[in-house]
Amino acid sequence: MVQAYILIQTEVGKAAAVAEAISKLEGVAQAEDVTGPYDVIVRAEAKSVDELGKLVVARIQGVDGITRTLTCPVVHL
Amino acid sequence: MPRRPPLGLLLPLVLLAGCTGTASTAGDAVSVPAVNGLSAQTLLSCADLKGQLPKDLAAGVTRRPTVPDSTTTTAYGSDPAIAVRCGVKQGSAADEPYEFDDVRWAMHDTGAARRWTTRGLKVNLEVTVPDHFDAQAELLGAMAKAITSALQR
Repeated sequence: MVQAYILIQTEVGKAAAVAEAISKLEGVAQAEDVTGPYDVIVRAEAKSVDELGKLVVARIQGVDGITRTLTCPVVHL
Repeated sequence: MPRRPPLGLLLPLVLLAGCTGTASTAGDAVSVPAVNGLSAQTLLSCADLKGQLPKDLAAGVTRRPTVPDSTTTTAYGSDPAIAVRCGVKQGSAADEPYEFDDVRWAMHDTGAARRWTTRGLKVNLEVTVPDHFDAQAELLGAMAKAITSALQR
């Protein structure tokens, strides 16, 4: 299983709605709206990196109100 | 010093035939070779880029699906289409250097297209633009915001 944190910037005033919409997607373990340089932080997981990439592209980035994503895979050094 | 191609290079160059394209089509989808063997970080940076690339690079130069369906590829415009591949090696220093909107490119003329490859980014991008597209600098410039946002870290 591959996990990643996805840092998301949203359009003004849409953070809560984006977090709510993303939290319902398959593969998303947690989605919270936060303060700071990013508006929503998501923890996602998938069976493979390819699948995780497709989750980011096909589902998360399809949510209305997202302007930018920055995906950080979890590594266990 | 940033350079832009001479205007003459950017004017439409209508080829004798469309059979020398760099990206073939399967239905509406464009066949673009995926970039394989990438690290998790590179692949996911490509995923971030793919979501941020614009829907249109210019009037009528609209995004199209690719086959195989890959996080590393995108296509734009009419046939032969513009092929975008993420996660490639950076452009060669031997190719012509350009800079558009703070993104450095190396340009290689393949004869039927210009292959533009970024230089100096954490993750690099290759954009093959067939010669029937004019204003290539503007097409690349339309991607600059997404490139610097997703790949320059």
